Amino acid sequence: MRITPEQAAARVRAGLGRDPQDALEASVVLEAWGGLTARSALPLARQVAAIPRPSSPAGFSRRVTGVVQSESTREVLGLIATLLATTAWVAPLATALGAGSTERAWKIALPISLAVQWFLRRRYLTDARGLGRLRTDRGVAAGGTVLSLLVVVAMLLQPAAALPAALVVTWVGGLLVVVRGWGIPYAACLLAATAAMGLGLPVVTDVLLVVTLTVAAVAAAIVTCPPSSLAPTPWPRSLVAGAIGGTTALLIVVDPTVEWSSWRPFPVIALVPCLLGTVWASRHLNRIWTVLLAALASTDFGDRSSRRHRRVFGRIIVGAFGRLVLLTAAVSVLTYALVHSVATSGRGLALLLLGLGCFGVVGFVAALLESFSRLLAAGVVAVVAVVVAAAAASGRLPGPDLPPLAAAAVAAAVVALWPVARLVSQPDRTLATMI
Amino acid sequence: MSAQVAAQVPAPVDATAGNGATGAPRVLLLTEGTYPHVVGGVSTWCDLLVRGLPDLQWAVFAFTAGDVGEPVFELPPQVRATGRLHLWGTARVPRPPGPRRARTRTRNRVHLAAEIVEGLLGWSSDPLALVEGLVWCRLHPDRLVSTFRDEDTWHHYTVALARVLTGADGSSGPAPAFDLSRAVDLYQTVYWLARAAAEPTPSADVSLVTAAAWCSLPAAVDKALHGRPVVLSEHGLYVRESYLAAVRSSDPAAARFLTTRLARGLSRLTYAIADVVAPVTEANAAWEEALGVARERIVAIPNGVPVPGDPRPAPRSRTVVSVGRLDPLKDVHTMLRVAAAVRRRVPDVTFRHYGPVPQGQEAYGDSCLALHRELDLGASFEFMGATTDPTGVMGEADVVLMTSISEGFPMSVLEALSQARPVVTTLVGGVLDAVRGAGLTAPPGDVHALADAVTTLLVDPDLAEQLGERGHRRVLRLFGQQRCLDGYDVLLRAVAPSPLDVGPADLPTTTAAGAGR
Repeated sequence: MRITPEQAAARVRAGLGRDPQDALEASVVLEAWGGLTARSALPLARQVAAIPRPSSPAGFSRRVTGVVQSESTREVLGLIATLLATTAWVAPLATALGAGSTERAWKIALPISLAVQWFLRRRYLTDARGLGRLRTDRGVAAGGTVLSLLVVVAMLLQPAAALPAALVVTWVGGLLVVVRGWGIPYAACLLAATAAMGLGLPVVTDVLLVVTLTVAAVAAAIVTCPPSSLAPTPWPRSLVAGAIGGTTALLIVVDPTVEWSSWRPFPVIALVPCLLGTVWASRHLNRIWTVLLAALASTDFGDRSSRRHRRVFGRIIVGAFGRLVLLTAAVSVLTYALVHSVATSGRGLALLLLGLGCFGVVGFVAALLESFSRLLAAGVVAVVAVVVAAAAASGRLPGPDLPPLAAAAVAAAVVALWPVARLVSQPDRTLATMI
Repeated sequence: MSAQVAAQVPAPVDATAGNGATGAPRVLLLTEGTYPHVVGGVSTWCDLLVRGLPDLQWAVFAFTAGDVGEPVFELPPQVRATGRLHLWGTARVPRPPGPRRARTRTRNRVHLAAEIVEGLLGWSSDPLALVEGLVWCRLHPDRLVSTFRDEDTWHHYTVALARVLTGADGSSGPAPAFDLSRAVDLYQTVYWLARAAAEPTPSADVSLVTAAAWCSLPAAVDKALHGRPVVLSEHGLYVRESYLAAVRSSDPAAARFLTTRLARGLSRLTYAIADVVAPVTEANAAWEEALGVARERIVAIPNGVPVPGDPRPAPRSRTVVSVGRLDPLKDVHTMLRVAAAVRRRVPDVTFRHYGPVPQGQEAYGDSCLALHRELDLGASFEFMGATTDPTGVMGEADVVLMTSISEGFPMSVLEALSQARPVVTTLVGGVLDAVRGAGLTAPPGDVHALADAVTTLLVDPDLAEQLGERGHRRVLRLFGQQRCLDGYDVLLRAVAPSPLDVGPADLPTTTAAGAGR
């Protein structure tokens, strides 16, 4: 077949419904739909591409893939139920096993649980197929199962010694169960177990039941998830995340003003406000994957120094922080109103709520930096917060007499200011470099 | 390209000269989205090759992406699975080569992303200029993540990308509007290109690359570090198929620009480093030459099929068989329209199509079913699903039909000819080399011409039989499987360095001290 470059250009435009991007695109059209051999199409296509044509359209809209919102409501219900159920164990456990061993158990279990939760979130739970990845990672799944079963056995033999591990299994397992979407039935089971204790079931038996139920629920959650062949996040990255999470959790165990067994309105209840605040803030941060991406998608590459997307990102971060502070404050006030009558001292309860609210601030800032792979900054924030809290607790901190957790939050916010500002200053760079 | 790295990249060897090697070469087979993890034509070819040349020592390194699981091919004893990189996964970055104590602290290569973008996406760039950066990735894999997290890397990348987007010449038009979000996505892709180059490979004498694509990156590094020769075996043309996919997609212009430019860049790099390019058909050579391969480096080795016995006579039941996955490249829509046109003239015709719906083409599979309903084809066109005996099903046919818009040297055509069945096919790729005188051809997408050809052979079974017998003789004479295997045997032995040249000891692996050479 012999055709002129003009005829070929017309054939290519007809095939594409537009001008060709380059000579190779023109060539495939001439071959695939023009019936030309490659030897004829390639030189002709070069001439087609050289024929003057109007420039490409100035703009286009890009579909932005939204990130599936997590099942936050169910997740919150499940986590709060887990907290409340374990809270209900405190007084009976203190009676049965001694206040000292109960407090020690909580102080050991909290940082470990938070560290393991951060680790699991980073290694597996980065998207909807997270549990499938955990299922495929057989070594970890099998190891976790064996350890959990050992905890059940240990609870039978040595409840006082095994209590920290039982708490870790309950809190970490609770996370996995609610991520599976079973938050509400799991919460119902926990509340039933708590009610059973009120009906006379010994607390150690109740703990054993809950741990067994949690292990079974986690096993069922993992087994019923389709396995995923996608590799989990590498160990070093996940372990760093776990270490940052564990370090932030150290804040609430190094603070001597937070007592874990003698207060009747047990501090775990005081964690609920900042937990709710954190969940709301996280939900708002999800707008990065919709609103911010849409802003970037509608910004031409040539206008990359535009301040528009910087403002969008800044608003999302400030909005998330504001939600954290507002909800934590509001629920703290409500909690104070509900439980101050049973507290040993109203001021102590207020300080506790303030401290745990500040703990939420440190966790938020560290998590924000960690999630954008600013690991060093996140680690520094966590460590500085712990050091400042410890210094404040021991009275070695100069300046105003702040509660340790409040001092930690102030220090964390100051330290995080520069790295967070760097994040916000160039959102495209922030998203690109979070490898 | 710097003088230092230019000196590291050896000149292409003369494939026709031979080197007198007497030992069995160790061949590193680099695959992408195929063997041994995915079933398909290239995978079948790889399996045939490693089983058919048991005297060679084979190692397989597979690139995969998407939801690809464990290998589906059982490797024969002479084959070692030596690595796998799951692109866009979360696999751990490899350790740097050399003993831990000997490692020196290296600074981030903040120009790396810029080098890759300009080297692969630039229209007129020198692809070999990229090799120095790729070698750095292999030598310093532990610096990759920190390099790509480095804000300076992003800065240099954006400057380079701006240069690529504004650069144009007579053969390429202006770049389409490009948004920041896409620039972010591309940055992550560039990281994975660097990651692919960083992947250590086992010691070998020859790299056999099965696509001019991602899987050639480790081969480029091995060639620069160890002088390991590279043979490229091309089945379809990666760059051509990427353009075809882009043309057919409804993606925005910027997305099409990126995928096609990247494919072009990877192909040019592969062609630049390959000592020998071995397409399955001479028809592919035009593209290879157009993208910079010297004619003397191209050695076409057609596919082959097992020596057929005496063919069964055609059933004369007016049955048309086609074999191929339900994929836009196979243009099953045209096949369905051909069936409708033929049925109007030959009402008792039956079409049987064998082939699976591949992963990712479910929507296309659904569209084929919808068109089947729309054309009211009913039982006259049956989707038979995948077959494990593609040669056997050819026996059911009076005529074999192929409507692809892109092919290399299709096995289904050879299988049809080996069973003495006439072929009606679109004139694409190396089809003409295979089918010459043994069937009828038509331009791709030409429903009327294809329907005319099928009808002609159905209503004139004597002509069909005559063409079939011609095809059978053609396979016996030209396209035997052993001939294909012998071609690769000779080529790989010729390209591999002689044992006298490299010494009796194993070449060092790239993960060990030799990487510093």
